[in-house]
Amino acid sequence: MKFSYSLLKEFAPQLPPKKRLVEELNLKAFEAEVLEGDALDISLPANRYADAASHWGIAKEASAIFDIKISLPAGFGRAVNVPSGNNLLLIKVEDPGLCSRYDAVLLSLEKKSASPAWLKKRLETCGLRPISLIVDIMNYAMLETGQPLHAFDYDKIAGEGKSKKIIVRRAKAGERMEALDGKTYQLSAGDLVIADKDGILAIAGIKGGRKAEIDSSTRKIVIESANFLAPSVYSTSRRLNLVTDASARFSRDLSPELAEYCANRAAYLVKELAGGKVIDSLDYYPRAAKSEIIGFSAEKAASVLGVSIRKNEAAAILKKLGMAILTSKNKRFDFLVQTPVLRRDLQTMEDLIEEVGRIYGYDNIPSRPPHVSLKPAETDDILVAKRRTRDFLRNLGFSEIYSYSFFGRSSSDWIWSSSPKEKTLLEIQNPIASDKKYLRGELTSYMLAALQDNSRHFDELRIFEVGKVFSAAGERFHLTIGFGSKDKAASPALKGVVNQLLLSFGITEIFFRPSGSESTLIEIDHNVVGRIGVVDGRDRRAVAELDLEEIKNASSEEFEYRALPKYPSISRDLSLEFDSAVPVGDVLEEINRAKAEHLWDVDVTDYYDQRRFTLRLVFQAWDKTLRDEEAEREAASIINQLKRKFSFAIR
Amino acid sequence: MNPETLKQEAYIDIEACNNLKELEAVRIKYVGRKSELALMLRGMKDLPLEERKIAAPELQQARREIEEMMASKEKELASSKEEAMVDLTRPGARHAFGHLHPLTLMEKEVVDIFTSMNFSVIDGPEVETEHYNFDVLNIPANHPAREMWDTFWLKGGKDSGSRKLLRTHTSPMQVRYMETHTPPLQIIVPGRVFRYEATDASHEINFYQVEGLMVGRDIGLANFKYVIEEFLKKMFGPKTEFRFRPSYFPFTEPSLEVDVRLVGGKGKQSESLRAIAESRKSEWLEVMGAGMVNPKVFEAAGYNPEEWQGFAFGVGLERLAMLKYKIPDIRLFYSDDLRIINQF
Repeated sequence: MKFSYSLLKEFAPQLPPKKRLVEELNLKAFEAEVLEGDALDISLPANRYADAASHWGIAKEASAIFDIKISLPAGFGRAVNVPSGNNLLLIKVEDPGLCSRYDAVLLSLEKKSASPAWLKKRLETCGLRPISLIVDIMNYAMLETGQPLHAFDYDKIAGEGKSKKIIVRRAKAGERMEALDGKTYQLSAGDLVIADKDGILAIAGIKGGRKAEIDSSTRKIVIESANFLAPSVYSTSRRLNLVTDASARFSRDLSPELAEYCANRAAYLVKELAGGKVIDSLDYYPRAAKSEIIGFSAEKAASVLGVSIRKNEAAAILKKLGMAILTSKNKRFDFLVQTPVLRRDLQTMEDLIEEVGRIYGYDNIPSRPPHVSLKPAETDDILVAKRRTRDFLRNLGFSEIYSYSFFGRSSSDWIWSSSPKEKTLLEIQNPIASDKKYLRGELTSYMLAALQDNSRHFDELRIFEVGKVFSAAGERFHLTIGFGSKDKAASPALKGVVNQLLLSFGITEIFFRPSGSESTLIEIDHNVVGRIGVVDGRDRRAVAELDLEEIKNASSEEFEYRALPKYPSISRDLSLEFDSAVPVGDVLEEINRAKAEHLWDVDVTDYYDQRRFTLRLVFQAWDKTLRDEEAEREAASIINQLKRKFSFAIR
Repeated sequence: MNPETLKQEAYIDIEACNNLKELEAVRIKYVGRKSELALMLRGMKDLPLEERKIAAPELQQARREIEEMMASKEKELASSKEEAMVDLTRPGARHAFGHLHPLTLMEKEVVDIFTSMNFSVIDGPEVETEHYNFDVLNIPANHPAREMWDTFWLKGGKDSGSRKLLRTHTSPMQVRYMETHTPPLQIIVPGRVFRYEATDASHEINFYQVEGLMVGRDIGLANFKYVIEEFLKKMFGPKTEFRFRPSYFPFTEPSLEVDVRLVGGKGKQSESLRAIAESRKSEWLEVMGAGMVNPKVFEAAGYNPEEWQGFAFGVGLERLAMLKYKIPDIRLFYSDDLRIINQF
């Protein structure tokens, strides 16, 4: 929010120079910055609009920080000796719950004039566009006090004398209003509006309408200084997608007490600058807002802030912030604090402790190590699994990417589950782009893109990602691994990585079950935990996706020592040439079926193509030295077993 | 000459060889076509059968052994020849070496510092309910405070409170964790969060935060300052200066923001910080939001606020990584370009 330094100085003549002001505001109140010329930028938190989103409010903060006096401009304050009860207008608030105050001042205008240069300049400094004298005065008074105002052309409000009536009511569904900017807004039932008996004059607290607009022929005006319920203004403004200076302020819960200060100040400026004369005034204010009384304990403050501030010092700080200190009968408190009625944010003792703390200065609070009883720290298992996976893959030469959690298609191709819930993607109600309408159900799609994107720059690609995937069944951490090569078979390389990764988690019951021609399911203990597959048909690019939670659940740290073999093993290489293509997996399965007693390990040592490959059989006995004849006999039985199923020659 | 003597002489000659050429001469001398051994073997056919049966295997055995000695000498000479050609100026082989994502590195660093201070590390859901993301954190519906967190909502869910959304911060884990654990406690929660906003060099629709929460009987702001100063010194170097400013978050009271500044130090880190500070025309860089847990949050979690107090903080990982690694644009973290990733 932009502020004029010279106007602040009118409220606090002893105000320090801009730079110092901004420094101290930053440290003790609000984020602030010096802009060009007379302007300052000060960020107001949502809970301080009620008292501080004005030059008066910032001056009050400065007065507490620098211990300087406030000087109020003429006409500022409560109404005195103002004509009222002249029956020139009636106000009817139909829903007091949504409008706690409606203050109206009627003025007749004597002379027509333009806004003086100083007024225009101040408005511009604060980011407002000068429009016409009356409108400019309304805006200026808002900048001074923080209360939004609106001025109606009295003569354009329907009715005469006693029957001229401003009605604060809820809109009917579909009711329309043409606004000052020429746009027409369609309202919903429940939106709060200001109307006369014929139609809508303004959307309450948001925007004025054409109907009672001030123009060059306006002779009499009604200044509206009202208070509307924050959530009501906020939801209407959100729905209409119409945020104005007024709506931003009302949405942040102003005090109804503010209305009177501002109405009077605006009326004063109209008198001074436009030769106006107050002809009537009305104040609908059935229930006056009250300030809070809150107990304060210096001991609690010391505990929360971690520094002892004497109760007198705390009281002095609170007084500087406009609070009254009262004696407490309750021994729990050192004193009671009566808050300024505009400070809607002060509700609890913690709120007061914050006030004391910030003005005392957070930098003046020492740093002190906490005293706690020692309890071992823990790390969630899934986070440990994530870290182990990342370190393992990094050490195998894989680089990590992070992709977006969003997804363009409503289904994921890569997920192995057949459960409809796990296949249903979650849809975003307000997507930011059409290719980000869903939450990702898999990581592989992004991995495929990464393999493609990087293929121009690298001969061999090793990439992985760990991240959450989502479905109607919930969210889980997945892992995707991609391998790409210019000339090497990708799937065996990747399968080896997956196998080693699982082994590193102490998982041994690993099975790769073919599923379709280009992918294989990864099973642990007969439970599918992932999928691995070739993506380009030539086996130069392969990807795998695994459920990291399943890996975490299956992981076992129960390693156990096993004595080394005392006797030598015997290896036999079998170079096979099949008559037609045969999957190695089928051959290995058949070898298992032979149940050779001493067969200890089988590996593919040479793979020429699907018809020609070499297997190494390792035979090992644990209780004796195996004789050549025994190994030969077992190898022969394996060959016989293979011959039952396949037709091949041994080379 | 008997085979045994022949073997001994051959052994002496072979060992005396200094190069392959000499060895070749020895070969011709002992096992060449015209060597004594060859002649003796050829002469076997003239011997009577009985004598031949004994002498021939001996000679053949001698020949095999001499050939073996020569083979091993040849190997020795050949390898010493290779050694002479070793070129240590050749560049090292390029072994495949992987790279962790800079955000992973950053998260590791943050997590390791806090675990060294006995904080537990907790994971939480990225799809949250309105209840945990907003309501229990004292951010009511229809309140403009919610505008601090532009939200992605999920389709479905109608009832207020149970409506699903993508968590806009890691703070929902404060209440989730407290609901199932008893104080005193100290945790950090690293994780991905989401904001519905236009992306630019410093805004992304998904990014990372680390939430911190410490609760005890009398954990105060002075303790917060200590813990965070230790953290920032370990992160940015011992000469880091800090600034604690008032701020506003509905779920903390008082609320603060923490800025850092580096002076004096000539370390690499301070240089990078200084460069960024200069480019932003401010010597102070904001690094986290924090505060004392609002009693309303304790109430929502079922704690008695009269009994417990503590601090909470949230730090953006991308922001730390951008400062530390001089990365100018947050969107680079979510590009899949390995030429970037492989720099870390």
